[in-house]
Amino acid sequence: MITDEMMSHAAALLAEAINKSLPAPCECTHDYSTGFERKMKRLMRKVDHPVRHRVLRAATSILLIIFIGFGAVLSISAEAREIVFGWVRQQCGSFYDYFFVGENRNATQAKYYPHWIPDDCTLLVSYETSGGEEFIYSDDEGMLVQFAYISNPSNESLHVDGVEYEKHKIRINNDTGEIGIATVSTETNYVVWIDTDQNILFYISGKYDEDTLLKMATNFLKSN
Amino acid sequence: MFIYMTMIDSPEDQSKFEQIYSEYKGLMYYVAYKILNNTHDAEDAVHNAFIKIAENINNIDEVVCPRTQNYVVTIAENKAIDAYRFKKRKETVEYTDEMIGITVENQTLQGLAYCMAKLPPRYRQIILLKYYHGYNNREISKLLDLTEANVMKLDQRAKKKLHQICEEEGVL
Repeated sequence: MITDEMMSHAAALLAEAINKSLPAPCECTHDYSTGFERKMKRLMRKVDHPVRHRVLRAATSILLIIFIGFGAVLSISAEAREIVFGWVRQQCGSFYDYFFVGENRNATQAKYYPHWIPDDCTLLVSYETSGGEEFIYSDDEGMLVQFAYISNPSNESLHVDGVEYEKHKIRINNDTGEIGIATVSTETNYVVWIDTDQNILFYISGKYDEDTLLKMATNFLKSN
Repeated sequence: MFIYMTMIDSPEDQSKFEQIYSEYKGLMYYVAYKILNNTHDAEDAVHNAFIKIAENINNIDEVVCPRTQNYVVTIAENKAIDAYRFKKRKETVEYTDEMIGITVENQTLQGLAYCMAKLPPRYRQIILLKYYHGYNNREISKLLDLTEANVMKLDQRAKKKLHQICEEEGVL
């Protein structure tokens, strides 16, 4: 049993070792590029005049809105957009990174909610993220059960620890996805699927068997 | 760069940020370059790290102290690894999260601290931020640009991995 006190003590020793593994700050010299130095000088000026720069930022925001407005008026080839946008999965070491490439034409404001959860789930927290929403539960063993969806994919990506899992394709409410079954007992299983009509990525993880996870996924539905 | 100035409002914090910049910019570059092996990428990572430091300037009490040094190093390492991962998205070279990060000289460490030093960088960063710097999940999520749920999961996995290493090393 490792207590929080033991963790804190060991972390302090580790931090000290990391500091000793590196040269002292005064020994590290680097001639930063002109561009970097310019940015930092600009930063220092801005730090000295926060109010003036807040006004400038407001002006920049207004300009940005105008540009976005013009951008929306411009029509771009639908075929070209078809080629360049969509959810992409990239393996990064022991986990997958899901991120969206291109413009999301079908962004939705719809919200989703887990309409069925196993009996042993207790809600810990739920909150909106920059691109969607998360619901975090705990099961009776204290393992986390996570429901998440990303409906505004330009703002967010998803990390899934599933590279070494046993995986196969599944279908959830007419959408295709994948279920990952952990090969070690300490990891949780997951299911991830994409609503290709609206470009929404859904994700559920928990220490449940395939049937239970699929039932949870099938009941991750749009809120009324 | 517009982000910076709106995040730092009090004169005390402005001065603190400038001190952090002049004290640690060389060390942060050293850390980032070790991971990225490219001057331009390393400078970008340091730049992103300074954005995070500016956003969370209230986390820092004293500028020149081991705790702050470890804090800026952890943020610089994290941003450099993010940049490395982003770069590898475009290449066919396989990325392994075990192989990058600061090399910790662990000869002087024993027991649990020795095992912690063997954790992969992203697990080590979570452990340090939580148990040495004392941040909660929400604060860590802001620092590392992760969702709170991802921080909770990483924390849980980091502890499991630590248990596994401890068992292998016969520490527990």
